[in-house]
Amino acid sequence: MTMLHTTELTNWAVDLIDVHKTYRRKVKALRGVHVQVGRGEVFGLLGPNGAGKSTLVKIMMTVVHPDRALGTVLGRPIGHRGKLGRIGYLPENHRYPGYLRGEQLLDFYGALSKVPRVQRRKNAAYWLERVGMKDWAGTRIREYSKGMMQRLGLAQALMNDPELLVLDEPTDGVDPVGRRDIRLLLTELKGQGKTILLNSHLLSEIELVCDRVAIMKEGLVARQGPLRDLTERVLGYRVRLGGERAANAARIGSMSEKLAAMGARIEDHVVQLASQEIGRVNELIDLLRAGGLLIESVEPRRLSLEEVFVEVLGAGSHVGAARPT
Amino acid sequence: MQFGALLIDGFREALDRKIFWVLIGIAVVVAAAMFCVEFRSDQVIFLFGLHTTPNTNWDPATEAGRKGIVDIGVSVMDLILGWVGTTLMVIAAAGAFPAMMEKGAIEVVLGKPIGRARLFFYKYLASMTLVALVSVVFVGLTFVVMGVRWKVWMWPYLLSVPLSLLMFSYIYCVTVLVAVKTKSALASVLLSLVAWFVFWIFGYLGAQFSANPSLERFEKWRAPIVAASWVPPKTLHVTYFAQRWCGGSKAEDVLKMADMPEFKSADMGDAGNMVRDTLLVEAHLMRTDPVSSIASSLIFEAAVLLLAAWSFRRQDF
Ligand SMILES: Nc1ncnc2c1ncn2[C@@H]1O[C@H](COP(=O)(O)OP(=O)(O)OP(=O)(O)O)[C@@H](O)[C@H]1O
Ligand SMILES: [Mg+2]
Repeated sequence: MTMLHTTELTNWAVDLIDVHKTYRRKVKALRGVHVQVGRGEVFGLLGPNGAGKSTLVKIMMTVVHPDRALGTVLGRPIGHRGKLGRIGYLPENHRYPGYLRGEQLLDFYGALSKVPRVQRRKNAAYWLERVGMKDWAGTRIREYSKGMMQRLGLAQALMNDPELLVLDEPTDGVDPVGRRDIRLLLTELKGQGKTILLNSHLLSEIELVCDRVAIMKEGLVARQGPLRDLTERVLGYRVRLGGERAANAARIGSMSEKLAAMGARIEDHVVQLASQEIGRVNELIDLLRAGGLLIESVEPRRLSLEEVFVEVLGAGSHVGAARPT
Repeated sequence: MQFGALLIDGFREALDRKIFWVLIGIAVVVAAAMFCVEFRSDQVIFLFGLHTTPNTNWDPATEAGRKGIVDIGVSVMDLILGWVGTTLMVIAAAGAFPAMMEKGAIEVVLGKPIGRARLFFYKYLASMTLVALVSVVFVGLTFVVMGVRWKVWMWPYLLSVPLSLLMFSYIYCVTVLVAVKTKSALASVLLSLVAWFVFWIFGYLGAQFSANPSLERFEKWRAPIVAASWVPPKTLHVTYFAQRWCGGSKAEDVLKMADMPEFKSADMGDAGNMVRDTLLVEAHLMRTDPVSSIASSLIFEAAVLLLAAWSFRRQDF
């Protein structure tokens, strides 16, 4: 087998190729995953519980040894020591030592990332402020709430001013305002050119911040691409009627058979068409206009990320890795 | 920088543990208790005059009396080098690795630019440093009390610090290995105590087969058992080194004692032989070569640590 020689010139911040991992108890957590994250991109990793998202991230962070993994992270092979210093990592369900105070924790992990002392002090103050934990800097972590831990964890991940930020469920346990703060922070970091790889179950959040997503299922990437492409497909159209309600109802009643034949459903003031073909919509419009109805608006109905997600996963339960049958 | 961070973290962790303060407390109590005893030429005064007894053995003004006081010092040393001190230290240090390897905590550390083997040894050294601190406090306090209060500045007594660390490390390598394998502080303490007992049996049998004349019947067992006794850490030897270096009783004295005709006389019978055999074994232990004993123990220790480091390296978390 010839190894691909990769250099710093790779465009991808994260370029994982053919990642396999089977845990000792024969759980096939990853079965050949390919994931590419562009530089400066916010990338969302989705999937049901046990799909292998955390395992993939842990392999990038050398927490878990892959059975096989090619590709690069920040242009170097996975686990490259120098590059680990350029990554910020927030693991899921992290537990920081309770005896440390917030600022001590940041200093400790900063030192492990080889950030010089003066810089550490500066960064710690800055990030504590940014995640809204300034007033808690001197409190022992064991007295923190879950969301506070999460904020501190985020500050921890940023202590080394990373190029790549790997966040495993960063908003888990954070209150709505905090979630918005984090979202804004991520957007700002993206603006600074940082690459962000994000695991989350909150699709609405992913939809708001991510440029590209991968949906994982049973240890494989089932779909991957720009968020816009995934949700681009038109499911149907919604035609909203204007004018008077009672008069409309009578007119619609007279053409209800034709409408039914076209596959249109009427709900109150809205006619829904399940067809994706633009020609059919125009036929519908003609019909409605011919019947003397006024049209207020015509909107395509696109897939929400949630629908893409459900569609990709198909029916049935998906919890856990693939089971041998 | 990374080692410094782990060291400071280790200190903070220790300060947070009750057992650490218990150990410091014990050191203070022992030192205070020693301070409550005063040796005068004619009497021993307890608790500043609450109780007095005539002083026969420990007159600091005479050579023999000073030797008696040194013997007391040696028994205080036994306290820290013996099973009490070592067990407490193992208990105090046992939590370090399981705490670091806790799910949710280890991921962050492994994600930092520090190799696993290095992380392992730094952490190991950090936990050793803490134990060294406890040892320094204990030995320092008792040393000063003996000097100030008993007028005996027993410099070799300070060897208790490295010796107690040595003794601790003999056991602690097993603690670390079990901790890395099981991630449980309790399991690691229990199993290292078991291992210690096994080490002790090896040492005991080795000494018996080397020096006890009544075992000469089992000649063909001798070589393998003595050889095997050199494999594990020689926990049995440590206190003898302390005793020797502090100027306690010497092997020659013990041998002389074993040669006393009383033990050979017919009316003591088997009992006399047994005492004599015991003394011979004792003398043998007293004359053990420290270099080979310590070096071979450290080799064992290094092997166990390498095994632990290797296991730590290849684990998934
Ligand atoms: N340390 C481990 N030992 C054995 N099996 C594991 C281990 N960690 C994870 N697994 C298994 O690997 C599979 C993938 O787990 P992983 O944690 O990567 O899922 P996930 O996608 O992050 O799930 P979640 O959304 O619940 O966080 C699961 O089936 C899980 O049971
Ligand atoms: Mg996960």
